[in-house]
Amino acid sequence: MDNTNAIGRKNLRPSTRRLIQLYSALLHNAHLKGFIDGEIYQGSAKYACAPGFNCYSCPGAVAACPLGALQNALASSGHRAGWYVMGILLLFGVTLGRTICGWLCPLGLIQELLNKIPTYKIKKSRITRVLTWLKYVILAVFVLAIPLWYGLAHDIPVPGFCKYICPAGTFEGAIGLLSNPANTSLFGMLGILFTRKFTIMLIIGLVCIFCYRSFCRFICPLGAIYGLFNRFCLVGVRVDQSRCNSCGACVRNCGMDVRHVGDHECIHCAKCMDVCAQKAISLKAGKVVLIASEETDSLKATAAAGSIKAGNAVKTAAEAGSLRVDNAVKTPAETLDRKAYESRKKAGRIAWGIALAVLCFALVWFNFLDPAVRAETGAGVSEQAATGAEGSGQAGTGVDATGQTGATIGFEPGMELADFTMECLDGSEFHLADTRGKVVFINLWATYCTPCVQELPHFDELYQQHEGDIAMLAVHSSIVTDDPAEFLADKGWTIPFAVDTEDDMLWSIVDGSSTLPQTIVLDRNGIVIYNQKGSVTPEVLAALYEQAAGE
Amino acid sequence: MNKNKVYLIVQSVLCIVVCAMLAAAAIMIYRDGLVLKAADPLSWIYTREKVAAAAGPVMPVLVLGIVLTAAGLFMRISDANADKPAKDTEWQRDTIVSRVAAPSNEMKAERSRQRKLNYGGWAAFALCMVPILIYITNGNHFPNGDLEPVFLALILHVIPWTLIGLGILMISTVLQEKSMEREIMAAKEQIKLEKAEGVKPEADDGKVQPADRARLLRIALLAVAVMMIVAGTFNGSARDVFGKAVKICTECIGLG
Repeated sequence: MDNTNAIGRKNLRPSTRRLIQLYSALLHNAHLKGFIDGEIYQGSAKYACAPGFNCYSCPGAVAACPLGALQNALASSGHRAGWYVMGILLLFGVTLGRTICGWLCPLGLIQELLNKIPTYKIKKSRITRVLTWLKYVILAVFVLAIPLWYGLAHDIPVPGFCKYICPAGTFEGAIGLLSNPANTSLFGMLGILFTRKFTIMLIIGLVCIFCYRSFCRFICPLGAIYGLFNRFCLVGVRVDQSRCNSCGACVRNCGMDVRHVGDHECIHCAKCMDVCAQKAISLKAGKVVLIASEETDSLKATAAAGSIKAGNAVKTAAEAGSLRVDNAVKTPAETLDRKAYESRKKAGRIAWGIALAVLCFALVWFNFLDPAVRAETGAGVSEQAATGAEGSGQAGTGVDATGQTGATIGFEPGMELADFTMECLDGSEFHLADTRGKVVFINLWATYCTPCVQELPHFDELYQQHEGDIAMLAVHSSIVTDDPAEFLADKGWTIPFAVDTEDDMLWSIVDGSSTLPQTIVLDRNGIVIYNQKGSVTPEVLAALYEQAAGE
Repeated sequence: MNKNKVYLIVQSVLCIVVCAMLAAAAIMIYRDGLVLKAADPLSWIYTREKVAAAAGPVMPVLVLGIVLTAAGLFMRISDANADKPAKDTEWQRDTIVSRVAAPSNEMKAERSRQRKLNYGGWAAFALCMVPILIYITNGNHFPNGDLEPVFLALILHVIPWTLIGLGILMISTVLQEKSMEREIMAAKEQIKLEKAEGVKPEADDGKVQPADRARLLRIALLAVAVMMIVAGTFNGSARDVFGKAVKICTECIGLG
């Protein structure tokens, strides 16, 4: 049996790094229930940012995306400085740097798996090295400039990178949500943005198949940020200069566009340890060795020696091979190494045990025990109960509630919306029962929702156009980041605005969800004729008015 | 042509075809949906039925691709060239030059040319970034209202300058590589000459990493990071993160 075959079989087994990547991807998306329900996690863990690139609108995501949060913070910089996100990015950068890309990032894992598809591969070269600077242009234009300008000048949060480029948002968020039958209504909002982002996602995916981690190397602004800290981050691959003979095998065998081990392009994946015949490379956290060269598989080492030979390296394969063969005869120093190796192996086993326990706890917590998840399940049960009652015809009709139509109380088209009273920001009261005879538009929005803020002027225009014949209410989500009254002060909109109560009273009446914006239209009898998530154009609003008014 | 090559060609083409078909399907649905939308603003551009119908023709090709991928992985077929170390002329140059005791004039000239090309390339790239910088720092280019034309104008401005900048950098890189190859040739000649004369290069003392400085910087930055997080918790920016993360931003994920 030759070494090549042995290595081939070995490669079918996942490496430690691959296991950690899978572990991290699962931990980033521990809210597995979300994939079944088609709803995102809304618990307090989302105060924290995840280290890797993982869309926070993914049904499984349990933490915020650092890049999305950064853009949002920049967009809100007119109100307050985004110290929190910047501090978290700095913390991740200084402690882990691009080790996050190599070991923890779910998108990195997806790219590596795509690259496993057996096709012709584009190798790195000095040309691809030049392309790595593209990500800094993207960082400057889409992550910094667009959110900053729109935030400061117009008070509109526009996440440039998320909106125009991010393939994680399309794949994990959009497709993750659309693939669930519970979210069929989301199809109503798809248009040019989805078509463009879906195409961009396909192109990036295709390039990743042919070119190793091409998103990381050429596009990822998060990698660009972490790369700034790579030279002095706590955890990372380090070269022992006293052992290094500058053979260059580490750089030539690396899939990334590195010039030196540990530079701003290095993702600290530690693959170079396998090809270093001098055992000069190790993965360290400060002075603590996490993985040392001598721990790598001997088969891999022999293969590395082979590749060095192929690459006209200084060492011959026989010389490099002999380094390993010599291990059989132990010197006192090597015995010490062995002891250190054994103790590290033991520590590794303990670390895996703790990690698995953490994962189990996370899975149980984020799917069953978290108060937000329990509240969600509770709401689902009560909703089902209500539907059951309506189905049996025993309760829930509008006869008793309003005494007018006799239609079933609910939020679906054809049903009558339950009556409610809301206190508006201007001090007036909006009582639904008082709007009979008028067309009613209810809009759910939030200051931090870009499409919401962009469509509100259209609502205002319609409101002014049909004043007297139309009743309108724009309700802000109960999650408030900026004071809505302050936000609206200089806008000059005449629509009555309100903020939903802490127990989400209106949200539960109209079936509001985690998706914003949402528009509900009632005809003159209070019957729902439209209840859709997603932004609406002036044409759609005009058509809805005509339909509701019976014109 | 051996079986591996045939497999790799077929698989490569299949990947491109699947992606092209999926993109074409999305564009067709959008195009047809726009026509319907023009007649009835309340109609949907995408529906589950339309997506299912458009995915129909892609499915056989996709399934074939998946089966071939599984077969390829099982048979351990891969691009043999991909596993070989990449060519790195710079490293080759440095390795060979380190064996030279005194560089020849030709070597010095080539090294000076490389330096000039490097600085020239970067200067040109920086110059190309100036119009982008001027564009993105001008608030008039980011007006309120429909963002589509703003995005289009931005792309039309950023992409050409970026391409020109990267293109110049690539040309400079290729020229540097040619120069490095010439320097390698010259270095080899010089080594031969020095060998004949019995001259040996001085031993390299090895590079010293400024570990202490890095440690100090790390500690300082960690302290700053912690302070920023604490400040962010109190000034409400942590609440901003939460507010954004618990609501689906339809625009951010490409829904609309």
